[in-house]
Amino acid sequence: MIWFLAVVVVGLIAVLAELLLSYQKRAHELRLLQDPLRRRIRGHTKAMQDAVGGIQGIATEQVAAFTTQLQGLARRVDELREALRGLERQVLGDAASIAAHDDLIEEADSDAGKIDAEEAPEDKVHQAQDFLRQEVDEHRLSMQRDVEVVRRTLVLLEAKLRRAPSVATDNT
Amino acid sequence: MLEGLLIGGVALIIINLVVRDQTQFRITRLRSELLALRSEERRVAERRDEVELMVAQIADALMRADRRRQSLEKGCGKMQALIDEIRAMLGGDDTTGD
Repeated sequence: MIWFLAVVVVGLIAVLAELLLSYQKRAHELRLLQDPLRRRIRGHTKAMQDAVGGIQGIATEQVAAFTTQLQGLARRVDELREALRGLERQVLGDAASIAAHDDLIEEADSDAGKIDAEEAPEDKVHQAQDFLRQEVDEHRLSMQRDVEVVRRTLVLLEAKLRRAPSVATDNT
Repeated sequence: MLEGLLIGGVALIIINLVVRDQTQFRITRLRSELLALRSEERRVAERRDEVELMVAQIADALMRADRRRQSLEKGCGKMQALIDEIRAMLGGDDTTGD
């Protein structure tokens, strides 16, 4: 009986030792698995900080510069529009008398009339109006849209960073 | 001696049970930490993708805006030339521009 109990006690001690050893081993394995994950999280965070830090400064400066340039260009476009309006009034004001004259020319010589019509200031004014609408105004609106896209995306980016404090401060 | 072994045996059984419980608890805690780290890593990776996409969008928009600024400047120049041409056709000498 004593021998039996002694064996049981020794066995229990062995089980206890095995339990402690297996715990140490398993805990070590789990900690080893955590390390690469922590490294990857640090890597992601650093990459985000680098990307955001790089673009934020540039974008803020560029948006300010574009806004100033856009204001200057808008003023210039307005001046050109005004100048074109003045020319339009001048040309179309003369148009009634010119039209009567053109009718006479066309009746006399239709070919000559065509050449005159192609080179008429009215055509140039229409051409300038189309150019102003299609090229200048279109580019101005597109540039305004792009600057607005940059501004809105920057705000979204800042909001995203505010929602994720771990990105702003490396706490891993 | 017999009593001592009996008491020791019972005590060892209790100790084993306590150690096993604690071991299981600690391992469970480590495992849940690992799972939390995995999901954190996935979340941070997704956020990184989103942030990089936004950064790329900003860079694209900046480039587009710069190209359009150049086109707008060229357009203003061409517009000025057209206006000057019309003025010349009208016989005026006012060719003041910017």
